[in-house]
Amino acid sequence: MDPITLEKILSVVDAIEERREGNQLTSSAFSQIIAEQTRAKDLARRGQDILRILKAMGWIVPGGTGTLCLTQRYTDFISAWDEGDLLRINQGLANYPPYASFLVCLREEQAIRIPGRQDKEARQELGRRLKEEYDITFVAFDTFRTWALAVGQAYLSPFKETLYWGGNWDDQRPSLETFKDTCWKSYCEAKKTSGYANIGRLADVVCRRLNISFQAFEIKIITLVKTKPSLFVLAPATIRTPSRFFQAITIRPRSKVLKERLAARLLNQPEKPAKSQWLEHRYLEDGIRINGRLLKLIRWEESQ
Amino acid sequence: MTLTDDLRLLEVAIERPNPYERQSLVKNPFPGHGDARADACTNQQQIKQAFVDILRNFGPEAKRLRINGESGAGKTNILCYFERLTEEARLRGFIGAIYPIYVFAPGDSYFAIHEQIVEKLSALFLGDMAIALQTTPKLGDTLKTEVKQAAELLTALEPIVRPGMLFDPYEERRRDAFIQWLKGHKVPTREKKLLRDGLPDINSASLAIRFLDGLLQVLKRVELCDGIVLLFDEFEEIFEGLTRARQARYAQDLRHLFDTLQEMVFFVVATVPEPRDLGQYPAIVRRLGDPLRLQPIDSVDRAIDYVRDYLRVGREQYFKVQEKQPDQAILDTLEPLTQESIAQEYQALETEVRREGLDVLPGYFLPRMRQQMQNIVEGN
Repeated sequence: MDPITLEKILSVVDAIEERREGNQLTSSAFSQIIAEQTRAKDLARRGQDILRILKAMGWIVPGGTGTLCLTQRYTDFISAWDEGDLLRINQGLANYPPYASFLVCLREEQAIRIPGRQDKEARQELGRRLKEEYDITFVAFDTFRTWALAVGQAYLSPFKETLYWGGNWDDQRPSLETFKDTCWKSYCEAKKTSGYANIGRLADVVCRRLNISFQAFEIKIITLVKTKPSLFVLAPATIRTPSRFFQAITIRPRSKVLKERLAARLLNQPEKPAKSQWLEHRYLEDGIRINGRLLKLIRWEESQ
Repeated sequence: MTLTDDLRLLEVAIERPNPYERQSLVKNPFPGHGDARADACTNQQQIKQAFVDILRNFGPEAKRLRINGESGAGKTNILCYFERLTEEARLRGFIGAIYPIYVFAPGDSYFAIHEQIVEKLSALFLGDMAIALQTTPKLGDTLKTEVKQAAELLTALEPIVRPGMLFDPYEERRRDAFIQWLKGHKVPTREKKLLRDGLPDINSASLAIRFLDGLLQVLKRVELCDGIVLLFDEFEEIFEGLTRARQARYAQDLRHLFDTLQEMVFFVVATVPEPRDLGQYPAIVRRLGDPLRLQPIDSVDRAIDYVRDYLRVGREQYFKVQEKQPDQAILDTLEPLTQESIAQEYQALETEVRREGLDVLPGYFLPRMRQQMQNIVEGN
């Protein structure tokens, strides 16, 4: 079965939302969605593949003849996606056993070096090892790492070209104190100019130390700014061409996409291609947004 | 014979009467999607006041106004309106010789907007500048000494100012060559020969900006122009559509433009609220200053104000074309629309947009009024 990308799942689910009637979807509507959302040569087979995944996730169950039923799990996922609640979105995706296996694999491995596209040997070797130990193919690994990155369960270091387990976080974990101490320690070690370090570089060290994602880092540091505003100074900076190819990926709340879609329709403008709507890509060194300002530099003010 | 007399020669019996004439209109007064108007701009008092304050006190200090608005909020409309406002204010003597220049489609380098500025300035002033330099023989040499950044420019102008013959058969070609050169285009050798030998190619943004500054300084010295209002539309395209390398180059050039032309130019920049990569350039953000936000249509009363304004402008146009004295009652009426029909349209739109957390913007509302008007007038 061809792996299904996160963008594909989101496009199909978005189309289901447009066509559902209550918690029901007709099979013909589902077939139409597959025809519109995929470019597979064998639409029937592709439809079966995607339906199998949605059933395995517990999102769809068979209804009456020619009907599919959308479950509470599906509704929970939609609600999480509308709000952009990454942890709950991940819970929804983790209902899919192969993805759950991937998360187990990453948690146990803690760090997996990403072989370059041209390095066939390394890719084969990694694939062999993952298959042996976790029953995951390299193609599945390659697909699911984007899932995990986009929902804040993994961290991809552009400087180490390595995928790290990034799921050690929620509202309570790590505690603000632990987070602050790790930031301080990492700041002391970081390269600085006039006392300012690059936030992206700082995030890289903190995420690897605490096994949290870049999204978790952003959430925690914004909380820290609000609770201890005099702890450090954050500042913007002129662009510097990012030093690495890899970008931070985050799933965009569906509510935001719907807003843009409605605005485009009201202005009689063409809609953006679905693929470009669902995920946001950023360079780590570009910094983070706080209160609408893009901040790239950090300088610690209070000694620890 | 005047235009009015000549128009009468064209008058014929109209086989199909214009249905809008029954409503004292020339055409549907409401804009369609993407249509910007220069003659109507409802509300937005804070932005208008800020614009007028800077225009009225056009001094040598930095003059900048940043206007924020989502797509459909009316950015292009307010810039076109300010263009018209500046023109009218100058013609009526309310301000000095300040000219508006609207630029858009910023392209992938500074030269895309530089060309637009040079095109407009050349059309406005090249002829008069040449005459001013011709009629005061020593002026050119004086200006070359006193306005260093205009020295090469004035040298390039010499064959136009002093062609060396009573009738210059190459005058038009010389002007074209000069304009192409000033825009930074590669001028063919045979055209370049019509200008001075040894002219430097304008192949860098810093050189182009230097010469632009020189041109504006010369225009000021010969009392043709006290300054320009640069109305910059689609500013976000620079920060959302280009690669990082091109963005960085462009941002550097813009910073240089803002600083170099500070004395002579009032920059009015319209952009979406948070262009994706604009935050990467704090130097640009600082120079643009705190933005003023275009206000949405936030009530039925405001919606009626919009409709009233556009109908009024449409009817003023009708009376002008008909060469009749405007009838105040007709200017103020909402007919064939009613307050109820406008309110209904507004409230239906409001319900639709609020579901997704949007505001009612002129770009959503006015095309619907256009459709309503069309249904009433052309449907009957």
